[in-house]
Amino acid sequence: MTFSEQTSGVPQSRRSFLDFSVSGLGTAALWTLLNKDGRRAQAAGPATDNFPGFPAPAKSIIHICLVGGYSQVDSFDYKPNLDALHNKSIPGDGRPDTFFGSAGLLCKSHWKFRQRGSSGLWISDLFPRLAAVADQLTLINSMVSDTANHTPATFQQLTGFQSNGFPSLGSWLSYGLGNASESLPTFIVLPDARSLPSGGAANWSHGFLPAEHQGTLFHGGKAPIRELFAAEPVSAAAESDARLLLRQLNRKHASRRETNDLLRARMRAYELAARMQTSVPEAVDFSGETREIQALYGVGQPHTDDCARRCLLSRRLVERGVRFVQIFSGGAFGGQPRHGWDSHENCRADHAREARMIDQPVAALIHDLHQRGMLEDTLVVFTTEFGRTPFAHAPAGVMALGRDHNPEGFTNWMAGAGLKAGYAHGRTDDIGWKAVENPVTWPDFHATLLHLLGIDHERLTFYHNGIERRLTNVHGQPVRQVLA
Amino acid sequence: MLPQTTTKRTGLGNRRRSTVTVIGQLCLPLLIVVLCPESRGADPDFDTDVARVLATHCLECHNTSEPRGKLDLSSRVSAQRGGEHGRAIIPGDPDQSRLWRRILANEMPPEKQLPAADKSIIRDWIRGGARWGSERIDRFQFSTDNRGGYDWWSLQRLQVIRPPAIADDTWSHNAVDRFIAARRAKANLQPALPANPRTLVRRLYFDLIGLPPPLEVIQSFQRNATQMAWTQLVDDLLDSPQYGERWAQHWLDVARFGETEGYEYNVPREHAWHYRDWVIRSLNADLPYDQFVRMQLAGDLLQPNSTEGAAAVGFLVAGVHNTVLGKSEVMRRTSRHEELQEMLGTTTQALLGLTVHCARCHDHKFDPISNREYYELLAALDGITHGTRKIGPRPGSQQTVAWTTKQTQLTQRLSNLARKRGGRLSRSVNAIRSAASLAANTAGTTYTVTLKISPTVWADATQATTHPDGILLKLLRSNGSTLAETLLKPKTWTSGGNQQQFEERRFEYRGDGSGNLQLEISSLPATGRFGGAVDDLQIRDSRGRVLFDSNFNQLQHPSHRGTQAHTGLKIFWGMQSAQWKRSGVNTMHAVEHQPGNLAVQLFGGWPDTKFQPVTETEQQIADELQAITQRIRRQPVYTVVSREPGIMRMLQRGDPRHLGPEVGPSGLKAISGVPSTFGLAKTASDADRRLKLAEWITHRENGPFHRAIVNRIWHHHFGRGLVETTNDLGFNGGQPSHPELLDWLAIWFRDHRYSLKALHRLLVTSAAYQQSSLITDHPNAHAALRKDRHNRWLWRQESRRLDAETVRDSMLFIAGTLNSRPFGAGYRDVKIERVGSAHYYRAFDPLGDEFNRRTIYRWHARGERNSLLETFDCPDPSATTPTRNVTTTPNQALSHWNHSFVIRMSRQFADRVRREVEIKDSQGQALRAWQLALCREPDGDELKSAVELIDRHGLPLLCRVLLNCSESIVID
Repeated sequence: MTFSEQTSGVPQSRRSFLDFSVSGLGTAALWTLLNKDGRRAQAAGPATDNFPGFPAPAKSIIHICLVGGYSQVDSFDYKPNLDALHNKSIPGDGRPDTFFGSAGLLCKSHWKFRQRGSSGLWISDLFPRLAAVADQLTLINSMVSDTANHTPATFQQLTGFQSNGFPSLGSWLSYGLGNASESLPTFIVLPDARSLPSGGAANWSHGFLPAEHQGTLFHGGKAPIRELFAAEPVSAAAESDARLLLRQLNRKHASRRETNDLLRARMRAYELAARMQTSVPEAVDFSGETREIQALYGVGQPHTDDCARRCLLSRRLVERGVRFVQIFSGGAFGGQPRHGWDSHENCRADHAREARMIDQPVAALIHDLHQRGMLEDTLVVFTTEFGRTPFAHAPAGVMALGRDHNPEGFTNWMAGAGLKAGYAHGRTDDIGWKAVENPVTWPDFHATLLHLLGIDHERLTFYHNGIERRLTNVHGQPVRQVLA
Repeated sequence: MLPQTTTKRTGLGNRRRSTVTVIGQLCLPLLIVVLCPESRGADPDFDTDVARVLATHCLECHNTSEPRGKLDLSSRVSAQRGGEHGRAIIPGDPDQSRLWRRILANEMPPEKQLPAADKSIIRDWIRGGARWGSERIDRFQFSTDNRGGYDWWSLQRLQVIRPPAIADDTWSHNAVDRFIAARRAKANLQPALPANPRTLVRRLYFDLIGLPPPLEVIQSFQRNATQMAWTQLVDDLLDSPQYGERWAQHWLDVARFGETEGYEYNVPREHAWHYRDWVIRSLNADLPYDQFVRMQLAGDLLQPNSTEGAAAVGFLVAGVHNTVLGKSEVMRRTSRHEELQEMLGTTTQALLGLTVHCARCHDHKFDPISNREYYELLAALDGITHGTRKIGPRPGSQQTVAWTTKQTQLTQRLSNLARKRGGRLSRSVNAIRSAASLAANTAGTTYTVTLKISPTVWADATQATTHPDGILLKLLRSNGSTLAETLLKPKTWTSGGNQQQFEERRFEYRGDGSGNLQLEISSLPATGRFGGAVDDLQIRDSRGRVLFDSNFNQLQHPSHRGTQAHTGLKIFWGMQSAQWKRSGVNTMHAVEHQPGNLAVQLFGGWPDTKFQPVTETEQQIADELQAITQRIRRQPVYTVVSREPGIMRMLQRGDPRHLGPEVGPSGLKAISGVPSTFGLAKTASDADRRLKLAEWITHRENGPFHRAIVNRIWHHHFGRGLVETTNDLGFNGGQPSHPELLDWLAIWFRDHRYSLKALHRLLVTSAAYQQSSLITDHPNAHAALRKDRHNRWLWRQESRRLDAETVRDSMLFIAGTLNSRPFGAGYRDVKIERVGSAHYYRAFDPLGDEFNRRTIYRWHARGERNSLLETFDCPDPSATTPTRNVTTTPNQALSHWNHSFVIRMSRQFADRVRREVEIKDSQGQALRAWQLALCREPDGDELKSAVELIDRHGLPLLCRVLLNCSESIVID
């Protein structure tokens, strides 16, 4: 080959702008902030990987999202009164406004609750393994959502808004924090093997943020990203010669257009892309994990394998600097048999099946992060779009095994960086139906997450169609009581 | 500097407003009044002075809707009543007036003290008895530091402005240039040199038609680079059908045109493409813009029962639509309001550059649009909802019967003619027939044919359609006549439980002893789409002996090109095997639905390929037949469906749980020169409402209506609008860089009968447009960069990266495989999968001419795009996209370099090069590849490297490099 690497004609001073690797990539929000404050000039140097503001305990989030609405009264919200009222009608005369328009008799938990660990948190036998790490958990028992309709509620959970088209939480973090990894995407989505959640990619969309903030879906296998490798591979020599020629052509083209940053960004992108071809397969390769660790998560066990692999992978990704990993438990809302937590027909059977798939892997994840010291700067977040009613999904006066949607009170939990561990915040009424003490809205919840990452939710904005948009719209404040 | 990964201005940095200038200009007469009465004791005029001070400094908090401290200063009564601390104003006694005392102490306004002159106005007014003028102060009257008022620039009538005179002007081509030159001179900047002819032609082609120019065009222009030749080129391109295809995409972005519903079910919209076609046709026909807009708001009323009218209003319903509503009244109301807000938000942003949707919960925070007006304007759209309507003649009417008769006659004639010349008018557009004949025709013997079919595997595996038409299986005698046949209709298939399974079907036939038979499988694509998939096929005689058996494994022949794996399915292209031969005009795929188990997939063509007329008479009849068929057909169109609007009620704080007062349909007061009242009752019909709305929006005096469109067109020609936020000309948007030019253009456009083509011509023939973007082509680039880094004063052109669609279209064009067939249902490069009612779309890379159409004919599913388009910033059509991001990411590089489409295009590009070169050596090939991909010749170094690469690794690899190189996708 005659083509050889030449030194670039690009002045050295410009390099810093092009270096979108470790700290630069995606710190668009930082730029925005600085621009607003008229401090742009100071930002010409390398950006730090933390948002300006306050010190951040957390650097990454692993989000476990339970699709369909899991039942708080069967899991993390202990209501002894519900036992007493089992088979009775709802006290008072408020007719519930449920999704399917009817409310059956009150129905006690299908699982026994016990106090766990030294914190004494009440957790039911639905999640025995998670119960064993109770002292790491921070429960929010008083979540409320604005809608009982799955998709708007899911969008609200994941994007802060009820309709299509808004950036998801992970995209906002990518935009706000940039990438800490040299060669992995910032925001990675690991869907349930059974199916994607309804709405598909809308759930991890970058919305109106630039496309680089889109969640990257990891499929299984050694090349989990689309187009990681060529559809028809060529020999290594051919690949390398072709890339070299491409680089030469691009460099020559760019050298005559030295103020055009896009051209240099393109060259850099090709280099990073090549690097991803080794780093991504490395990240998904479990051969370096001991048998004990794999067993801890439940890899290889029929019920837990799918979730176990994703939980273990999420730890590996976070170790390698990925900011946000989203694990879905459950797929589409509709369909029979159910692929998720939307237990209208039989909460006992359906929740048992779903819980069995995730209980061990998620508990193992917390345990493993903890033993490696990673829980110090990682948040594990466990959420659902809404809870389920403490009364049966049945006509008035009738008992049944299913439960309807309940946006008025449900439980999310978090674990890890910056949180008060072994703590339960907020309270629902005596039957576990409506949040009555310290209700936490999605904007509050999101503001809390951002706070833990060192971001003021009111300052993380992006102009779109007339408004400086925020993840938290015009609402929300961090839930201070759960902070350590 | 913008963030290095986002090279397009998102408007984040430099968009930050400096309202001072404009407000200053607008308020100048007032300021003079304000500043003059320095003389003490002069009683200030309430309406001009006092109202202004109160409105601009106090009413943001002390207004009627949410009075801070319960003090409302907007009306006489409320101001006199005072707030929670008692009376605020004691007429005649400023010192006892709490209002004055807090102003004096600089406690109010809280963040910024009042200018001295304004302070004295308040003091003097109270001293003079605090007399009130007009009953109520409208706090929108004036712009402030925090918000726009009725005096906001974009809301004013268009101002007649003469282009500035420039001394010794040798630069300008037209009036546009004089505005640019004048402003540029003021900034003490010089223009760049004109771009070279090659750059100019490339720029123009990509701008106007979204495709690269043929080398010959460049060469011809290089020989004669005159303005006359340029104008001719411009006219040619504006006249070409590709112009509409290019510019429709820009409009569809704004119209958030999508072909699935969004939300949970995300159901496909089968008939939404009519809107896309209507936009393309309208642009090509240069439909005056005001009509273009009126049609999109009320086409179904202006041209009732026409496909055009129904298609045009597809604009209103192009967005997402939640079909999962819940049982309760509140939930339904919530969905309805989301739907209406989405429609109104898009409509006002697209057509007026106003963000009216921001006033749903409260008065608009930045623009003079009240909460009430939001609901009044919402009422104008409350008579419509999403739906599908069948458009066409009534069945059974006299006219229809006559047409149908004629249709039958024509078909008969055509059929007779075709038969005479030995042709065949087949209902099936494609078929495959077994090559070997079968000895399965003993007279009197009953044979059983067993086959496995699936409608869903082919929906999964390639282009999906929810309306499969059927598969026809025939046993043919040697003379071609049919011994037996069976039609497998979709309705017998779709109820199957497990959709991944091939379903087994059987039928029997009785032999007639006429000799060996051949098997033929064909699809019946009445819709011109796919037929279906056939897997195992077996024929047994009555004793159970297997006479024919195929599970299509032979199709897995290594010579089949384009093997692809997608969700475990493989698709083979160009099916040929020993056992089957192709006899139709179309193509076939083999689909691997389980490892090693293949199905034949029949790939439908298009109705017009059913019959190939040979003679002129045949052609004539065929044309007539097509025309009449078009007329008879009742076409389903995804469009607006009228409903009884009832009376609109406001929502308290935008909350559907809390209904507020009733309102009637009406426009915005803020738009000056256009009466806002519609003169309609609260119960007016849908037709009345929308016709009024259309009239109001397209009113000749409506300033923002005109400014918004000329600014959009400018944005696409210059890479950035005169106002950067093309959907938002309000306070939170940008300021015009050249306000006089904007108004001059708007009036010019109106005077030129709203002709978009005339506007394009005006802009691209300007000297400003034809400038070079290279700083090496500028006499003093370093100074210019220092003074105006962002090129706000247009001292050069902007270099641009091609958008996603153009990247893909160009590759097809360069590879010589672009299918230029326009219009009709879009190609689908996603697989549809269903779980329950939820639809999922998985992008894949299908093969076939149908998929080589321009990207505008892609079926726009929400939620998923192929990664090549996605990483090049093709937006999800969930919300209006006025300007696209331009990002550069490793994922983009991966897609561009590795995507099977790009690799296939490289190979086809190489095939084309080999076909076209006369001298069949590597050098000749490299030369031609450069010409096709980059519209130029390679230089010596390039040629040398290229030849080496070809010699070592083959031409396709070089083609892949060229399709990837920056020069091919970045336009100077």
